[in-house]
Amino acid sequence: MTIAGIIEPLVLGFSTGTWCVMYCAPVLLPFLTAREGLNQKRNIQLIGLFLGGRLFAYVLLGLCLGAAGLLVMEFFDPVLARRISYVAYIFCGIVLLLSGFRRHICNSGKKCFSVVKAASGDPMTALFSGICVGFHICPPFWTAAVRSAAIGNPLAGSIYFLLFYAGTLPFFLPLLGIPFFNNRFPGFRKIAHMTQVLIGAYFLIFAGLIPFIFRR
Amino acid sequence: MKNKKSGYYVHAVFIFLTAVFGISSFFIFSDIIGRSLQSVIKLKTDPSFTGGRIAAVFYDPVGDDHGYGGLSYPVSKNFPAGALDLVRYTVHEPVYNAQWSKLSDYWQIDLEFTGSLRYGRNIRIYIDADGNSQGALQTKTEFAEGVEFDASFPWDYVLSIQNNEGTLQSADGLLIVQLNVVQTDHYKKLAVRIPLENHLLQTLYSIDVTRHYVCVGGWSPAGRDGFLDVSESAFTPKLFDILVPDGKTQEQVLSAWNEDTFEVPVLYPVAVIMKASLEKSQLNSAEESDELQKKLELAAAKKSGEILKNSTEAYEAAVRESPQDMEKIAVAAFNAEKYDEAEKLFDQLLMKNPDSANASAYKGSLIALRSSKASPLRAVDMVAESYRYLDRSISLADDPAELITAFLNRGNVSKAVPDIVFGKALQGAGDFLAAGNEFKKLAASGTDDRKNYLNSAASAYCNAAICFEIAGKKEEAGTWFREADRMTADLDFEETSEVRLMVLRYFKKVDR
Amino acid sequence: MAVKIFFSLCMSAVVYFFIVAGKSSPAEWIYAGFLMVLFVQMIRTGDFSKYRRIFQFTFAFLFAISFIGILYDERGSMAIAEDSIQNSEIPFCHITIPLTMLPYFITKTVIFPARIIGHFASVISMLLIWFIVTITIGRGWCSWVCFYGGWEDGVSRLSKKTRFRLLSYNKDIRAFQFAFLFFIILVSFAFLSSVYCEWFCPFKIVTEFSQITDIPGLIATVMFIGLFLGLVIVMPFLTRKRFQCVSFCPFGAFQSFADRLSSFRISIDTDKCSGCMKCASSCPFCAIDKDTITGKKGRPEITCAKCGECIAVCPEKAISYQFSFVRKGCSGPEAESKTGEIIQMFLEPGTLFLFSAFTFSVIISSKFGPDALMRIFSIFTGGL
Repeated sequence: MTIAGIIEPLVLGFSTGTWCVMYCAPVLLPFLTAREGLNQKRNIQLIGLFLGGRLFAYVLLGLCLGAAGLLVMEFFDPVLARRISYVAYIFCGIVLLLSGFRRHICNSGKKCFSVVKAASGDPMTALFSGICVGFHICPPFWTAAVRSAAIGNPLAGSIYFLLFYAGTLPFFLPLLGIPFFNNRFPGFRKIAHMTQVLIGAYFLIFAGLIPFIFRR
Repeated sequence: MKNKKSGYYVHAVFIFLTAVFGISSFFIFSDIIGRSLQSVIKLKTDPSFTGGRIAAVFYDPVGDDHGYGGLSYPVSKNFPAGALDLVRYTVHEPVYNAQWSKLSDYWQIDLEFTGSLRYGRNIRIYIDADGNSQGALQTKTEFAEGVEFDASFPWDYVLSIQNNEGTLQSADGLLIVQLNVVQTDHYKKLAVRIPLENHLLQTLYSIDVTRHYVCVGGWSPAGRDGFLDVSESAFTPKLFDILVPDGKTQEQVLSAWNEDTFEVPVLYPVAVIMKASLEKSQLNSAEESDELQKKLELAAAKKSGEILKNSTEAYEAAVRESPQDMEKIAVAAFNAEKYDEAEKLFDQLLMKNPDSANASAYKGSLIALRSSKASPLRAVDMVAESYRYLDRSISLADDPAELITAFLNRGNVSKAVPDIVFGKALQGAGDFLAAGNEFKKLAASGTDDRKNYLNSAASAYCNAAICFEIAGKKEEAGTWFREADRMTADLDFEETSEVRLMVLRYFKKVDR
Repeated sequence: MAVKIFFSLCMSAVVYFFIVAGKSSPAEWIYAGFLMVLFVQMIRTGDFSKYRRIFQFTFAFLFAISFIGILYDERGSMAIAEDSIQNSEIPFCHITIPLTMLPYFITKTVIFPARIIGHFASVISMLLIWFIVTITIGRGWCSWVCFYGGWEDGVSRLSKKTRFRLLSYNKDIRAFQFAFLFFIILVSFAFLSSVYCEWFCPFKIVTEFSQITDIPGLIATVMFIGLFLGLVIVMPFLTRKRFQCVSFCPFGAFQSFADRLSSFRISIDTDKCSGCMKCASSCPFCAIDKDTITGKKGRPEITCAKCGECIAVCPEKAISYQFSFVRKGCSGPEAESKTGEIIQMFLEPGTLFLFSAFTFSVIISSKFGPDALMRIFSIFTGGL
């Protein structure tokens, strides 16, 4: 792989990082701000899990697109991309809602399903929502997809994606300030929690189910 | 303590002044504040609502809606002048995931005409999307338009637009998609949206170049493929206006038919680079245009020196030879830049005859000229007063010469006063266009001064274009600079140096 | 007395200039007279809130008539047509301002198909209005100018009795409003679309609506109507609060933050306060809690819209308007001479706030009030 081949996806990732922030901010910001007793270590852990989830989704997509080779270019299909997004939103919405209502569900006196309890924990929520966000196919993502498809083999495809991904990471650095913010404004946790639930509901119903069922 | 107290009063008095005068004044001047703010921050609406980023704009000559050169409009009130005269063809970049639109994924093409027409246009846009030799070379319906296509670029899709509806059809006829056609700007503009949800059309998202053959005909339900018959030779193309690439003319392309050999005209496409950022300038090199600009500047300076000299002589001659003709002397004084003298004379003329259109026009200009030296607040009043005269002169003018004087005076004032304060640039453009049209009519009437009139018309069009530029209407500016350029192409270089200079400056700016 | 006459004269100049000058129809004179009567009554009696309510409800009603009429004139329908979107001709309202800010940084464009300049509902006009409102009366916009809030103001006074007390839920309601603001800002950012206008605007029913061409459109319309009925009619009727304004409106929440830049605030004199809580139960914006009073905070909570209801009901006269720059618990300097007293009368924060706020009331309603009256007259005289 040439230097240009390494730099191109890095630069593409960096130059389009704002788009990634656009997709990730509604999930990560309220989720992290709403965590109880969030210290820096826990914060980094959760961000790491979220980013790991996103990376997993990217690698998976990279492998599939790479394996499909140039065929992918012929089926460059915004309608399909949007449908994948709708499903991702539905799952992301469910994950955020479960995490948001975890205390209510598990403290309601009824026997809580162990699966729900495990799946709605903070680490799992971060991981799952990361995966969901990874499946949103945004315009720069398509550019990366088409480029990787053009490479034509799974390994090269995945490397391209990894580098693209690494290019977007600097935009997540400001999230390290969240624990300081939480200490400074303790009252904000409750608002963030409500925001998380609202966003979860919006993703599930308005960004997921309604378009999935009624729109192309 | 004392400091605190005075601090309190300073703050409180400031709030008092804001409450009593500040808020009202803010609203009174909000128009000016808003325009100034916009000139700095340059807000714009997201292009996904309005059609997507513009990939290319093509300018077609104004008034060339005569097909091969000899077609004239059907004698019917359904076809008002300019209704089939295509002036701009705009191709947008394809839009993905648009919000608030019936179509989330679409590709938009705009066609703009000089005249309004709700029902009566029949338009075909043949598009070569793959740049290869696959596709068709005949029109969608045989013998409908009466043309064929460049063998290097066979078309893959055709957009058939009749009035406010249309379809896209592939060359093999297998794909048919309904288009979304919206007529706006009093039926002068058609915005055509091509839905891109179909897999076969999605290659358009990644394609670099498309080539377009744009054909405008009249619509008739009885015509073949809806094309209004032009009732000439069976070989005459039924197209009133087409878009041609640089280096060709519509008349030359459309007249190339031969009844004996059964040849029909061959159309050539315009190429659209689908990503605006990829587009390369096709203009002259920088050095060439710099050199040309210097030449033109010299010629223009020489010419304006000559004009002033001639005007001064004319003024002296007028004073000497016809001291009774006050209007003649006043106009000559104005042209010779003897403004005080001119204003006195025009005042006297207006005293005698308050309904003199010419005197009103010049008086308006003179007040506006004086306002440039006045204090800003006084200047606002003076410009308002100047417009009272200028508007009146237009309502009073009743012959072409008076109309031209009135339009040019008001246009010049509108061009000169700051648009962010007065917002007159668009009106100015309208005035210059009106003056230009009057000059054109005079040129067409077959007098000896044809060349001078054409030059004056071109100059008026350039000034209109500058006004459009000031008002932020770049596309309109492009149309009229190009029109001026075309009109002066065959005229004397020195004589038209002023127009050529304005046009060159525009092209250099666009290039940059 | 001289101060009252001075400010009344100044207001009559504002009313004349913005409503009557250059026009001659009786509608303008009637509307101008109506506004002047309200202002003189406010300044004469000192009871701002009662006449403010009359103004705001009247304005909301007239605004709806005039705005819908203007839409019919411009596009022949209340429904948003495809070509109005393509031509960027959808009116831009103040609620959209916070939603378009973050997307601007990504797209460098306004993600709303509105005119940028040259129309009363263009983006630049709204930004300018927002700016001048923010540095003067701040969230006072909600109770003195907002043509939507007037509906709730009217409905909340229909019943004499509070059927559902919200006092103990104040904190949660406020938290929800901010959560809703952040939610709307974040999803508008994620979708690069003004999501509030797409699904959650309760005021479509009194302004303009999207055509119902598919099921999502139908769902949206049901949401719009439901939100209007629930938040603007039923809840204000039951609670006697501006329920939508305090729990839902993203602009209200946004303006609560921006209010820090304003020139006026409400001040509670903790020494005079007897803790009767009448202010808390009368506050339509849920901005006074038990904690506000018992904790001797000296000012209402962040959602205060300076409507003046609390001032009117306080039996101890402990609540008043104050300049924002005066620190909490402090008051202006004592006058040391007769001239000083006179100057202080002119610089009295309450009067200056009233004048500022009512100037906005006059200017913002100047186009719609007379226009709506004309339209109403024309219905009675047989034409539309």
